[in-house]
Amino acid sequence: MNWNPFRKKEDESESIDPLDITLSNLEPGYVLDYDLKTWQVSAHHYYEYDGDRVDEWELSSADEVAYLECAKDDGFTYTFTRKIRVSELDADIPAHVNENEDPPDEIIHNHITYEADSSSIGRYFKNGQGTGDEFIVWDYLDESEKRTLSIEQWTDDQFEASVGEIVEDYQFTNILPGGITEKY
Amino acid sequence: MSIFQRLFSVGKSEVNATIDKFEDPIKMTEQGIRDLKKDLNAAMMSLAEVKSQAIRLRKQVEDNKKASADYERKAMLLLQKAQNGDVDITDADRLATEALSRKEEADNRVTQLGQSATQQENMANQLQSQVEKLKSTVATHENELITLRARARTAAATKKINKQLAKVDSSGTIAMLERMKERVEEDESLSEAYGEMAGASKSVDEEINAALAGSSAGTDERLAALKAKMGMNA
Repeated sequence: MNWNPFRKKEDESESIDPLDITLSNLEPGYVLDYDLKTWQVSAHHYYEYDGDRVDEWELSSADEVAYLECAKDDGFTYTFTRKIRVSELDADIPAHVNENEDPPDEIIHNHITYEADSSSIGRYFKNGQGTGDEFIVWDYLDESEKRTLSIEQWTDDQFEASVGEIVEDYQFTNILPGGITEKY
Repeated sequence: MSIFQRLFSVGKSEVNATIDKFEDPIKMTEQGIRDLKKDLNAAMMSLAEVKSQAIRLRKQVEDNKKASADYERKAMLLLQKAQNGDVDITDADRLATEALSRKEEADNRVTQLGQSATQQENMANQLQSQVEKLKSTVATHENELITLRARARTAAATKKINKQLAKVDSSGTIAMLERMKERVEEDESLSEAYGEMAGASKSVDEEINAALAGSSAGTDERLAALKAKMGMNA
C-alpha cells in the first residue's frame, strides 16, 4: 500500500458545500420538498436538442413519479412534469401523426386547451449514458403559457405524453444531499 | 506544588505561548467553518436518509392499500360468480374467506407501515429544525469570515506602515539634515571670508610697487644722468 501523507481523503476532495446546493446540481439520492411533498431524486437523465442540453431528474414520492426538467438559456427554466397516457388526450395522436406528420395544433387534456408551440428532434441519454435515443417532440402551451404538454414519438408507433407546469426554483425547498438511492 | 509540577506548568505555558504565535485567526476560522460544514453535511445526509426511508414506507403503505382493495374486489367477484352459478359456493366461500384474510393482513400492514412512516416523518421534522439551525450558524460564521478577512487585511497593512515608520530614525535624519545645512552655511561663510581676504590683503611687492609708483620721474632723471656720465647721448 502506498502511503502518501499529502493525498487528500476522498470525502474531503468530493465533499459538497452544504450552503451551495442548488436545484441545478441535483444528483440521484438527493431529497427535496415541492408542493407539500418530499421527493427523492431516483435518476438523472438528459436530452440534447441541436447542441443544447436539457437535464431531467426523475423524482419519486410514495407511489408518484414526476420529472423535473432544467433548460439553460439566459437563466434556468424549470418544468415539473408527470407522464400521462396518450389515450387520455382528446385526439388519436398516432393516427394524426401518421396522416399529417404532426399531431393536431390544439389538444385538450383535463379540460385544459393546449396550443402547439414548437417541435424538435432530440436525443435522450438515459442516466446520462450511451449514444442516446433519437425522438421527435411536440411541445404545447396553455393560454397562460405556464402549463405544458409534450408529445414524444420514439418509434413509428411508440408515443409518450406528459403534462406539467413551468416552475421557479424557489418553489423547491430543503434540498438535501445523499440519502438512499435505490429505485422505487 | 512540587518543583516538577511547577516545571511542567512553565513548560506547558511556554509551549502554549509558542503555539499561540503560530495561530493565524483567519486560517483557524476557515478550518472551523470547514469542520462545521462537514458536520452540517453529515447531518443533512442523515436527514435525507430519514426522509427517503419515510418516502419508502409511504410507498409500501400505498402498495398494501392497493393489495387490500384488490383482495376485497376478488372476494366480491368470487361471491358474485358463486351467486351466478359460475363457481361452486363452497369453493367460492373458502377462496373469498382466504382473500378477506389476505385483505386483513394487508390492512394490518397499512396500519403498521403508516405508523412507522409517521414516526420517520416526525423524526425528519425534528432533524430538519436542527439542520436549519446548524445551517444558519455556518452561514453566520461564513459571513463573519468575510468581515474578518477584510479586518485582517487592514490590520496587516496598518502594521506594515507603522513598522516602516518605526524603522525610520527621524531624530537622526533631522540631525543629519541640520548638520548638512550647517556645513553649507559654513562653506558659504568661508567663501565669503576668502572673498574679503582677497579684497583686503596685498603682497609686499605690491606695496613696494605702489610706493614707488609716484617716483617714476626720478628714475628717468637718474637714467639720463647715468647716460651723461658715461658720455652717451640721451
